Amino acid sequence: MSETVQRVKISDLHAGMQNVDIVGSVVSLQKKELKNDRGESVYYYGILGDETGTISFTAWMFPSTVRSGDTIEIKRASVKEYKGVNRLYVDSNSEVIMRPGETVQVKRSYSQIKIKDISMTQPYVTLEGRISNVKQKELERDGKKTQMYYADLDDDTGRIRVSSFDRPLKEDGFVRIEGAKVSEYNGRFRITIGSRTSVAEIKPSFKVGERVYDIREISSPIGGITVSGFVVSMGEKSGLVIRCSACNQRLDDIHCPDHPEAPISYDIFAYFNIDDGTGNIQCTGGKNVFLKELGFTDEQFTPANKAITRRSVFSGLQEKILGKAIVANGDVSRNQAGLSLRLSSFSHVDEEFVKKLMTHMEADFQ
Amino acid sequence: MVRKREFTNWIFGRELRDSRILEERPEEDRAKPYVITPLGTRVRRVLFCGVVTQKNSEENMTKVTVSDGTGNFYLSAFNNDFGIRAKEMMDSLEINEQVMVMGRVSTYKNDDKIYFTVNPEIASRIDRTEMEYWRARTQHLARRKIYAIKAAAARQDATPDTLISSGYTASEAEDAFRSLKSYPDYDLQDFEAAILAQMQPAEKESQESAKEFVLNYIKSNDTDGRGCRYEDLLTAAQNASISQNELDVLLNTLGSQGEIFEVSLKRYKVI
Ligand SMILES: [Zn+2]
Repeated sequence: MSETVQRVKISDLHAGMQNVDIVGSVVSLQKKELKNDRGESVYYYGILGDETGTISFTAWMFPSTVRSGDTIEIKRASVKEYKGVNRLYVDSNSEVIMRPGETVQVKRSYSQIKIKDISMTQPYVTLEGRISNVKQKELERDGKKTQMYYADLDDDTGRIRVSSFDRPLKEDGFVRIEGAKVSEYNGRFRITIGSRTSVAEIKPSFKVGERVYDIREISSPIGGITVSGFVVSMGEKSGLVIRCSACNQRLDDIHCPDHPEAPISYDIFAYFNIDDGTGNIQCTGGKNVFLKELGFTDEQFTPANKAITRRSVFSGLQEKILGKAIVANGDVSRNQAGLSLRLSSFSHVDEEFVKKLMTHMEADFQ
Repeated sequence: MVRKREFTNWIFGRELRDSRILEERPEEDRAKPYVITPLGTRVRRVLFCGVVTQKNSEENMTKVTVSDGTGNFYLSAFNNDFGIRAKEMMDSLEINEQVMVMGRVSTYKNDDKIYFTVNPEIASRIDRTEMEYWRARTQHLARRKIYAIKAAAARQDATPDTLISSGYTASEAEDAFRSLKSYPDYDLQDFEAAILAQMQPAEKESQESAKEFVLNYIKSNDTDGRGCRYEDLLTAAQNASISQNELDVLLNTLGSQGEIFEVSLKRYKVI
């Protein structure tokens, strides 16, 4: 091992380098606790940037005073490749020094990725996709009016929500968004188009279609995907949900404590696990997804219909879903327990789906 | 409800039947041991589909045999606190019905032979399409494992990492090496042929014509006497709407049926 210290810029880093000395700005910093048989340990990971680019780092020890935006110097770090990407490793041999007076202009590096590969380790990315479901809203920010545009962005791997400040988004347009900021909100990823983001119309090089996933391939909260599997368990609290028609609150009783006079309305909530042989995922869904399966129309599914009871809805769901092979479409979200799929629709596995699945699976062997 | 579920293996009866090894575990561990299958899979909970071929319903215990075409699964459910619901489900099944079963594998050893029974957690009637769906996925999962094992065996310097970098998952890579270690002499060709034999008649028909095509092509394209090249065969097959996947399966089947042989790596001759 060479003892010469190399002061380098991020763009010059390559796998295998050791004793790297680097000055940069902390773009993001996260702490992770690990629990295993040997006890608990903590490590840090984040992104370091300088005027030539950014790099992910992992550190077993890190000064607790360092915050995002701080300039630091890291001495004797090493660079290794991890999952095809270079990563800076700060180990017990390394030293991290605060450089309070200095500022580093970080060159944002936007690697172009697919929606399924979005993660919090890459805070700025370039994506290509189709815009849809555009909604516009006026916001007051610091006394100034701003037009906000919200939409979905779809590529061939998934869907993500987009928020755009002042920049209109065109319904059904294909765009290339360079330097979108990634964030996680309510367990879902979204990207933001800000002043330093560029948006250009493009001719797509991909098709937006059904995105069929094996459950084991789902590793992040992306939207608009399709999975299949056998329903192997159903939550005991699935079934009829009674709501107050005035406040929409879920009621245990048939009277809302705040609106005892208000009539009640019926809703459905079901949660169950599906398994496709590669893993399992929890699915949740509401009235819009299950009503038809239970053989009701919206007009029939009201408290006036005396045939509807908690028991009948629960056993109806169990009979129609439990132990059956289904195709589920929806959005993945992350909660404390892990990833779950909120259904936007589901159907029973049919011939056509089996054929489609076989084609999808065959691609593995090409 | 949202606790982490134990992994459920979708496997064919044949894979369980051919298993000879139980994972060693600490004496104090009262849990059921994992079965190590010939494909290196660690199995405790399984999910399979098949046809009910036997049923014996008694007050204290119900026994049901389910065949998936490659082998049998022997189910038993007891009339106790844990088994009563499963027993009711099994009691309602009829001979020749198609079912999906998820359950835990129990093992017992006698004279060095291991016997398997499945204690069902769910048993549900399914239709033909659901059966097809299960079969397609299970074949696919098994074939990925077989390919991983072959890739692990093919190179002296293969490691789980080299398999992962060529597209296998971490557990497939781990299983592949576990298979090589535990079942070095297992006949993968024969296993693959057995699980692929489970096809619909229509598929069999097109399979027949694809087989003829491949045989004829190999016969007439052995240009230098050292065997027909795989690359040439692949191009021709794809032009004839036979996918690489189908071609590989055919070559495997033809190989195990003794109709062709691999002269050298990726060179084939008709016998
Ligand atoms: Zn209310």
